[in-house]
Amino acid sequence: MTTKGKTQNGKFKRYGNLLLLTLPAVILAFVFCYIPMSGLIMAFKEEIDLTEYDTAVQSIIMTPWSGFAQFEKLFAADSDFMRILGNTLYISVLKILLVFPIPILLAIMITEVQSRPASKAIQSIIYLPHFLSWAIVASVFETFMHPNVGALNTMLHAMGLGTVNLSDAKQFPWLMVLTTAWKDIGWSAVAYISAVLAIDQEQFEAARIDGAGKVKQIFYITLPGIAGTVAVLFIMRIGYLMDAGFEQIYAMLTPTAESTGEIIGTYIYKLAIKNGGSYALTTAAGLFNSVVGLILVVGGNLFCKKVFKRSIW
Amino acid sequence: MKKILIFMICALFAIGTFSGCNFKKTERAKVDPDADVSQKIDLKILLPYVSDSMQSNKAIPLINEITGYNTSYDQLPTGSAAETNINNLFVDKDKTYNALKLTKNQFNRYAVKAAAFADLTDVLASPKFSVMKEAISPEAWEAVTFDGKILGIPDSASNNNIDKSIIIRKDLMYKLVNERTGQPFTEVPDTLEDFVELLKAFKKSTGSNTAFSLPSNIYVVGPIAAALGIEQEWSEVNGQLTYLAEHPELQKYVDFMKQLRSEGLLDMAMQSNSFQTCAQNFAQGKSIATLSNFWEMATVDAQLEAYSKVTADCVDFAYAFENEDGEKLTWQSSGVTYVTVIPNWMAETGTHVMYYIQEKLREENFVRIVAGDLGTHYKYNSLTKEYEPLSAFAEDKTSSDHFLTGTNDNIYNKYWTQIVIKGNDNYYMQWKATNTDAFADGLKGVLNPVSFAPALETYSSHAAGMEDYFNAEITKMIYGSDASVTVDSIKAGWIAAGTQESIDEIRAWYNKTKEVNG
Repeated sequence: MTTKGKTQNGKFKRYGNLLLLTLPAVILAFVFCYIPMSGLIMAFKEEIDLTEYDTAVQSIIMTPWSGFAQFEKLFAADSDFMRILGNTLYISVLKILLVFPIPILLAIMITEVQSRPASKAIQSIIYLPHFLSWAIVASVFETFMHPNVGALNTMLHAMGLGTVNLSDAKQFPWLMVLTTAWKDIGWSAVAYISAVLAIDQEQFEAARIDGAGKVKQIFYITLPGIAGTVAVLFIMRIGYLMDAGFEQIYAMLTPTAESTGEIIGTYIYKLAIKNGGSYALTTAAGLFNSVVGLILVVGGNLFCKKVFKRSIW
Repeated sequence: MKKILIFMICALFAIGTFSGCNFKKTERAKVDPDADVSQKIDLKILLPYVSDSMQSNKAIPLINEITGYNTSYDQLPTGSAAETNINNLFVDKDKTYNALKLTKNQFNRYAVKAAAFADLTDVLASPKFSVMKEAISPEAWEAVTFDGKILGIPDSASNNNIDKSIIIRKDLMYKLVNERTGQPFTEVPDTLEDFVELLKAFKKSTGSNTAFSLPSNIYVVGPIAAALGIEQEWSEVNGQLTYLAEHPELQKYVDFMKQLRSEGLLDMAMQSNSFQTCAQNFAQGKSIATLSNFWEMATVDAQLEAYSKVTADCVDFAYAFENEDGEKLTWQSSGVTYVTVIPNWMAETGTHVMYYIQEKLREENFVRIVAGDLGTHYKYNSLTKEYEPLSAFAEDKTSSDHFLTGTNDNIYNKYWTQIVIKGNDNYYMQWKATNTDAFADGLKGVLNPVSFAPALETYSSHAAGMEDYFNAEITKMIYGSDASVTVDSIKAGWIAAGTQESIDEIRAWYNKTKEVNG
């Protein structure tokens, strides 16, 4: 056995029992993430009637294979899938570009608040929307932005300005970004606040002694200090690029906004549940979604490794 | 982890390859009419959404008393969440419920699946269940028959009602002048031209952009479509059964609605409007017209009281407009509305469910559930020779019809029209105007020819998708700005959403039915 092998063996003997702590997470991941993946074979089957055999698994297994027919159907010229893929990416990229940086700024601002009670109060207030379900948030915003009776539009009309309308295809993606920001920036800031607080305070003191102002402290200490956290969260966010926010969009989408608002998640739901269970086609769409997501995560990790010298693996 | 994943996939392939031949297709179970039911079991039934206070509904103890079964009920959520729940229930073969009450569309969708519902044909052929068999009309039984097997117990519409009518604030209307005739409006408009004039006069007088306000679930306005030649959602055009999407007059309807839009008469917030919002606009005098189902009049009345201190007496009904031939036609509802089914995997307890349903369908029991007890909930008026509700009816019988599992078609209409509808003054007001007075005024109700259609192999799987597609596209066309949506694109997309095969299938059923019925 090599020296490295011996060292690892020794480490395992000494700390191996700690691995037991990961067991619940491993079991959960296996049961809820890995076992369901076997259902991906549905993407290569003909349309499936899940009630045909005694169990859904039997029905899946017994349905004849169809090769890549479901993918061909998905990408057929008369299919809406490419437009929907475009919508998904557009909304997701908008969210990353516009919403991702805000919690970083917010975290820096909150940690700069000198009064501890005020800082705590601000944190609590901005977290709160995160705990509301999208169904409630959608209902609140629909009422708030109702073209005729909504408070926002009543105010805008009084000021002689235009109308904000969730049913307007041009406005819909931007309104999704806005409502996401309202709901989630407070919660997203938590990780950054912890990261900022974890920076050694002596660095700030040294910088102050050297004459660095607040802005310079932020640029030369705070931002580099939280770069690792930013990188990790960015890579994780990239992994969700293909999920532009199913619950949010499902709750807010109207027919006239479909041309810009329909995303892969709502499309799959419509096909799988509302329109009588096209499981094979929707699994194909889901698999495509996941493969692209995986490529993006790997790509994001590489990007962060090169640019920020930080990565998850 | 990669190894585990590869192993799992290989294992599944192996199972599929080597053990697959041992899997047998689930066969449709039959409910045994002669099963031993001497030991009564507790029954659990899943209903569509009733109300938040469903569990305290007085129908439950009454049904327990009548049937001798201890029953409990769950209800589905509203909207598309109900579809998810039902879907999960069938995929899991959930054994929680002995019976399910589904809408007719849900029934159709699952009836064509291999073995979703137990076969009731044999049990209904048994003399033990003759009361049930005879209580329900033959056409309703036909509507729940698939592949020669009866798969459910149908609830038929209480009456061939005209559910919807355009309601108009006549107190506001009397103050307006019809510019076309130069005369003040004294009656609700009979023609679409006068209806437009009324909306224009209202807009001119108030500056409101919401003269005609519609809720988000109204995609096609029946009274307007009927006046423009679209007599029903499905109608016969040149000898062929035709859906709205393919109707030759659809362009005319779209043009009319777009004219309202271009003149600023149509509430453009339709997609954000609940009926509550429309009723609020109507009550606040921001709209002079909206579309209401007769059971929504209580909401209208409450809103009028709250915002304008007036009652529903200030409402009048434009239930139809004259068509090119001077006739007034409107859409009338009919057919099977709900179907109670026994899940295939619960067929063993199916005989209990059948006895439970049969007891509810016995004439005397059915009347008690729907209308209550003579002397307590209703009385007999010897002068009019009709039954009339008493005050206890409203207290005890609210929503009791939601607990029906099958309707006694021989008596339902009589008790419903004489008691149930009169049990709520607001409902009755619109119902009477549009279902009694209007017919005396020459109105012709048009029934949907597919309202009694059974589940069809291909069509039933696609029907919901086709309807959703049409509703979304017509909304885009009238309220949206996407110029690529046209009547032709709707027609093509609708066919693609359902396949020509499924459309041919429902046409073949219709032609065959027409031939049989002469």
